[in-house]
Amino acid sequence: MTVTGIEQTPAFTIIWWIIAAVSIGAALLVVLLNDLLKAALALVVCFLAIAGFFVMLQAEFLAVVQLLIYAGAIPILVIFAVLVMKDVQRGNPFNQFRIPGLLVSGALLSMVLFVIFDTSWNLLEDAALNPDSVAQVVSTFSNTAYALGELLLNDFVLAVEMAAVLLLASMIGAIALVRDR
Amino acid sequence: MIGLTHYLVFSGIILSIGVYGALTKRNAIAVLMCIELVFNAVTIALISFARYTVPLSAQEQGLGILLTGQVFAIFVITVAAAEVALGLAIVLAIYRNRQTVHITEMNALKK
Repeated sequence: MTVTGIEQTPAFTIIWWIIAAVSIGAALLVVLLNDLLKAALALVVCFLAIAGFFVMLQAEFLAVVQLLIYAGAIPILVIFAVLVMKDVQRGNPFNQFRIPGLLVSGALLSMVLFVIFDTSWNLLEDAALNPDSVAQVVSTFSNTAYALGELLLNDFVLAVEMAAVLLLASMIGAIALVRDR
Repeated sequence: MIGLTHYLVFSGIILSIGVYGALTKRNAIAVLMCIELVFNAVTIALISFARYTVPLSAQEQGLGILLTGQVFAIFVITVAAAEVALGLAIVLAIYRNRQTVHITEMNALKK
């Protein structure tokens, strides 16, 4: 079964490949650009493109969260830290591990690809669901913010409280690290 | 037609670009940015699992657990935000004390 019919259209496929190309290109620019400020801006482009993927994956709430946090808050922190430094234009050099790093990340990529193609995924479109379940799946994916709120405050309420404590601890830690003594 | 495999391969490519940058960059801020790329790759994988796969226990526990991957993605984003705030605070503290952010020169524990 499929959740919506829009995924079969050619436009969906074309947009998917455009977004994939833009975000992989921007991720490569983050690594390869020598100017640290431009690398941070390429990171923003990559995160914006990935927010498009979240919309295509029926995760509208997470797309908005991605825009707010990854494309909004984190680049502001990074660019603030970049602008404190001297010599930003040549601030992004490689270290002596270029070739070993390439080998390690290539080995990681081939391992991940092997696992992806070797696993038989329990796909939603192949699952034998009765009509009631199909209607439930469609309603879940058409209103993900509602379903996420129910999940977060019922099954995952302990994890939500832990996340609050984690954010508080990291805020106190950041203030304690950078304050004047 | 776009399926689970497309998203997973894309996520793997972003992941390995991030790991490559984190291993080969000299600047600590660039390393943090590459770690953000790794976090984002994981988030894409989790959300595509939530969208395309169904857990074996879904029939007993109800189909509400289909969105568990998106809940995990929310926690990954939370941890990433905490990590980048603390990481940049550490980088700024090191820069103030030693006037450098190059991780190759952060060898005070070696001496």
